[in-house]
Amino acid sequence: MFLKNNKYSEEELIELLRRQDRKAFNYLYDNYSDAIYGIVLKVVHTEEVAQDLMQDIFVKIWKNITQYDGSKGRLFTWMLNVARNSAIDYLRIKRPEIQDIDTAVYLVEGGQKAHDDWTTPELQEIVSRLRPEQQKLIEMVYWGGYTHEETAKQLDMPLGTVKTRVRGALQDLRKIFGA
Amino acid sequence: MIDVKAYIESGVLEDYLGGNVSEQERREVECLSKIYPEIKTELDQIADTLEGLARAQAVKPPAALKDKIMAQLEFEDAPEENEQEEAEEAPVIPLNARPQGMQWRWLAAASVVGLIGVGVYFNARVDELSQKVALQTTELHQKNEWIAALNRAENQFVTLKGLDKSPSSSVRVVWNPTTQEVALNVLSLPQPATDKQYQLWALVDGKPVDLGVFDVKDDLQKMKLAAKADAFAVTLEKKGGSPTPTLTELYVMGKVG
Repeated sequence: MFLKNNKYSEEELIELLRRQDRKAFNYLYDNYSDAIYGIVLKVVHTEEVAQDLMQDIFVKIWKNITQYDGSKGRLFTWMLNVARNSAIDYLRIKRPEIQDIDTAVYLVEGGQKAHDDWTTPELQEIVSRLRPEQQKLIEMVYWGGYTHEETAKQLDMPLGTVKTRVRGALQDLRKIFGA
Repeated sequence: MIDVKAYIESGVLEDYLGGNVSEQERREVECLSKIYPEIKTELDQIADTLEGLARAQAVKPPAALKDKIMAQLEFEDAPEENEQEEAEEAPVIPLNARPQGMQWRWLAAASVVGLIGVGVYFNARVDELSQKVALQTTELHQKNEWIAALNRAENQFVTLKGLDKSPSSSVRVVWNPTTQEVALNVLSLPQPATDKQYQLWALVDGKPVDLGVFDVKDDLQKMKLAAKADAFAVTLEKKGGSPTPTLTELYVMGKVG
């Protein structure tokens, strides 16, 4: 469409969202929904469920934007947490069998095969530069909702090693992104 | 004084961003990142990395999802509404208040009044919301029609550029010579005085043809039909428009083709 292509700074955007501004929400959605949807799909693996969750997530973001505190971190980080928590809550409440770690990992692995279809070439490029065990750790800890303890138990690794490797993987990623 | 380097290397910042910390650790990270800029920088960089990773694996949700979400949100298009809502809120009575003597009767009475107020308020809200839903549904249908209309191949897009009166102004006009439909989108125009309105004109063989008045807002606005047009122009007129354009109040203009 040919509506104005507004750009906001993060501060302006948050201020406008707090005033329940329609354009600001449009902007927020257009800029972040792809990334959030990608993550929700990674956690729940079903498009239908992911779409339901997206509704909850964006309504929550909208309602709770007043609680977002810019001094505690980036807007995206906050949104990511809202998204991840909603997705993980869904798994834990609606599908209690997930609480059993072995089933959970089975589902994650099954899901991984399923969501290969959604992987972008850009991601493949980035992920291909990470070692496979690093990939797995990032997936479990950041998108899969596993605690470090659960990850350690599942991968049969000492807790300290999990922590070091997660950090190492992020450091490598940071270099890849050039941050 | 803490060892900042060791703190960063402990991995607690990664845990924090992964939502993998205890309540105490969370407060600690938030507090320390305010005190030590190095910790804040590190935290932001890890956050950027995660954002980059998330963006790299972004998946476009179906377009209909946005409409579904938008329909559930209440937007503040009219700012005065908010103040009114606050004024209508029922009085809050602290739970731990210990009224003395006869005072509790007043409090009880007040809370009953408050409850009735809440009931009335909610009923009013429900009515208001159902009206909003109906309105939004109509709006959505209109928008869909719009999108279809805008996608036609024969459409002419004309950007009307600011003239001496207001050089930074600009208006986009879409004209379909086949269906004769005209729509415009205000990109930038000064907000007029309350007794004034902008008016769109088509210039046909040097003569202005009235295409209706419009307001300064972001929505696409449907104008009168135009069978022919060599150019479009906008003037500022008295509210409701004028039969002929006031040429000293010519704001933007653009040629077709």
